[in-house]
Amino acid sequence: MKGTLKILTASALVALALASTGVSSAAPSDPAAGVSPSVLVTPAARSALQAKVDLARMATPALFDTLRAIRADVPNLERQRRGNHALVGRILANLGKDALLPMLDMLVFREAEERALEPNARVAWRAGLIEAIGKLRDPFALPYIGALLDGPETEPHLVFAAAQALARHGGDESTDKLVLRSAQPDPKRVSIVKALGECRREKAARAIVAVLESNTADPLLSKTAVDALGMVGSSWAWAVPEVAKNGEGDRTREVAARALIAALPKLAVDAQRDVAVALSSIELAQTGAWMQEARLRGRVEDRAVFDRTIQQLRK
Amino acid sequence: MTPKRRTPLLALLPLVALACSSAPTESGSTPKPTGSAAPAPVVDPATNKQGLVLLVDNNRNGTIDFDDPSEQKGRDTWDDTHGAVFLANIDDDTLRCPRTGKDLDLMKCFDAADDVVNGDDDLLDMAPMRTKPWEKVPADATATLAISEAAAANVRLFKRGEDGSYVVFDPASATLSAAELKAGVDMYLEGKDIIRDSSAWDGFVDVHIVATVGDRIVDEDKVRLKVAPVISPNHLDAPEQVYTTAGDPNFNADVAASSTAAKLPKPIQFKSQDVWAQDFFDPAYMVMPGEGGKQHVMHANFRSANFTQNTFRAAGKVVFDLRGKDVAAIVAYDPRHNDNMDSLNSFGNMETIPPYTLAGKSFPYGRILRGHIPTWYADPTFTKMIESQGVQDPIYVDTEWLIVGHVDEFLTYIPVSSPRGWALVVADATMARKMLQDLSARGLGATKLHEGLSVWNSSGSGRVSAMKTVAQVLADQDVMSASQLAQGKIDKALTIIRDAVGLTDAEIIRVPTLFESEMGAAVAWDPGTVNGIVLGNRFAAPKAHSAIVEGKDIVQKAFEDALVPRGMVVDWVEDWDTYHINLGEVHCGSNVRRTPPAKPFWMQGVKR
Repeated sequence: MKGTLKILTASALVALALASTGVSSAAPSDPAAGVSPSVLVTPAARSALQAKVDLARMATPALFDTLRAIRADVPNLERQRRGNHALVGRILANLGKDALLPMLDMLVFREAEERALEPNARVAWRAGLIEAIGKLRDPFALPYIGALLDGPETEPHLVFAAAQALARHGGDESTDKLVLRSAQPDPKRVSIVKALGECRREKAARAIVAVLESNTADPLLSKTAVDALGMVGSSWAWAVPEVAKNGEGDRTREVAARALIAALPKLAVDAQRDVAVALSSIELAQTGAWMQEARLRGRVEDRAVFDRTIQQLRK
Repeated sequence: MTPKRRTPLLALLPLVALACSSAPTESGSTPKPTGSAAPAPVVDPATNKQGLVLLVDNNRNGTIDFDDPSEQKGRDTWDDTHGAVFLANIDDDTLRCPRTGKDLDLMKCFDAADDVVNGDDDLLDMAPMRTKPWEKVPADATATLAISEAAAANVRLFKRGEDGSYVVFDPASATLSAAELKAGVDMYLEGKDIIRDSSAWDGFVDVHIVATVGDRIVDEDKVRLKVAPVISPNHLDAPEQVYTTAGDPNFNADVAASSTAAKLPKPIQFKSQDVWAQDFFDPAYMVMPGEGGKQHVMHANFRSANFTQNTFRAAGKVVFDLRGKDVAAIVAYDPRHNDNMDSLNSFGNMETIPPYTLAGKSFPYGRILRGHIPTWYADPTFTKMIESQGVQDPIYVDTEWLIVGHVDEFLTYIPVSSPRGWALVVADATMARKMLQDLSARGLGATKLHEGLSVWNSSGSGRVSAMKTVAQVLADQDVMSASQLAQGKIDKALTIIRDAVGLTDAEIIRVPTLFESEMGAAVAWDPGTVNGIVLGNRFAAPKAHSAIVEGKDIVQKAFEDALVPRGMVVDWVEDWDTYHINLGEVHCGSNVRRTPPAKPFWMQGVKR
């Protein structure tokens, strides 16, 4: 593949790999690379992954090559980046579902090879890997992503990417893990609450609500929770058939909307504006009535903020 | 009627006695001022003061007019109708400053950094001051000058000697002799810096001249001047020069075509690996009254306050390369600012809302718009400097939801024929989604977007396709939720801007853009068409690469349908490979120097 400029869609890569009858151009898994210090999984899980990776390498060696090439290009992407980090996740996500095992190989077994990357490039690369894995929503990846979240990694982008990957899967086990962690006051909490916004489950919404209710005076946590409630109740996301099929859409959106309305007067001004943003994302027909109800039930001095928010929603 | 004698600012007055008919004012035993102590109030700043009279270009016509009452009237005050203006003399008229070298060394070189007059051009950047020839000055009188305390460190006085040379006049130690006062003294006040922090120095300079005989004050006078604010241009100001960086020939060819069509010179391409020409510097300007009543312009390029890991953003050094005659470089940054928020210091995050008036309050130079909230904020030193200019009171909105965090990612302004003269163009995710839904409803869900493009291309290593179908995009919950959040956050910013400006719905033009999320924040999923440059009535926008229906790109068609009827011509620029996939667009990869409006700020009713 090297020396050519070619569009590598995931299906084309698979086709190329299947057509290959010779020896794979990719190197076998390198035990010397060591087990990733940030993804601490059981030996059994490691072995299970190693076996699948080895098979995938034989089936789709070009994908492994491509991943290696992208990683090698990260310093260049970093040089061209706008903002804090190069965005690697959307590159990797566009490789498609066949890239899952090559990406897990990189994430779990090849962290030592990242030593060549500058710290910022390493974060860009690793966050991209985790994010792209998360977008695939494949349950096979969950133990490795969960281990990363539970492990020693504290870099906020990587912690968020791991939490987001679990949230995007939205299964009971991964959701429960996030719900549990969201109640714990640890440095990863903001990332976890933010990530819960992408877990389209009623229990995720309730966990965010709990955080909001008990942290209205914390500017960062309350703003994060408000945004997360807008995300978890996003009507556009719930309109996607794949999302809607869990049947929790209406309840989730109502839980989110009611909590936002209840919290409104207790929040700082900027977070109050974000409540309108979140409510406009949730887009429930009853929002106006609930707002009026809360306005009348609440303190007279809080009515102005309700009026302002109603006005903002109308605009 | 005595004809008014107009003295050109640069006329080198011989120090000869000129007629002066009245006796000196003797004001008793007022204590003699020393050095830069705060001056006492002046008793008589009347229009016909005789005796010791210190004149500046109080009436802002570019000359000092000894016999024009407007030159004397209220010269110890300064407002929108009168008061002298001078520039921060921070350009490099004689091109003596190095263009390369260490950042801190480059910052230290500018015309006011030395204590010499760097040629006639240098004098044009200063405020001329003259004492009116005082024929009946007491033979044993001397005069001292005092500069108001807050201004003292920011200005310098030069006195013209008999041989025509200029020497520094240090108010702390120098005096004017009776002979000089009799002949009239020719002086210049030089600004050594812009306003950095208005709470420390608001740009005003009070110059108090006191004539004494022994310890007795025999006359005094006072004038007030103000350093010109640094003003950021807006999209209604005429473009003069487009800047890009070398490296993407397709992009540069398209931008050059648009620039040529706008009758502008060929774009200047910086040789920089950092392709974000919008971000690392930003053209601004300062003006003062010049010869012939015209405004004298000094362009001033801000270097971005991008400073991380104790290092300046290298490409920002271009401000020193551009520095020259009537072109200044301005640097303001706090080395301790939060590195994680450094992207907010790029100039994609500093746009100028064009001029407007609302509820009797006028912003003739518009207002700065930046992404800056309590939890996500730009460099405090730079922010204070911008706020301190006092003429473009910034409006702040939340851009924390964006990966890059810049206001140019979701809005711009275009000139239109309307009472306001401009309209706001804003990215609209709802519109973009609706367009795709309509296609889907028409059975066109398989229509491709971003066809033939890649999200990664590396020569020799392959590419990764960017192509998606309409159906795939609509089924992508991540793009959908990110787009909806973006819509809400854009609406939140619009609420703030609407309230501040008084914009009506008709003045807000919506153009379709979807957003995606990565690393927990959003960025335009398809090329953000709003993120282009305005060159007069032309808008250079990124090619949208959206669905082609009936031979037309649906996003480009929507964009043209919105802008063309309002008098704009749209030029499409290919920016995908170098800019879009690296999180920016045409605007981010370019910059524009503009001509200041013909009506200067002192005629605009600008008040502090």
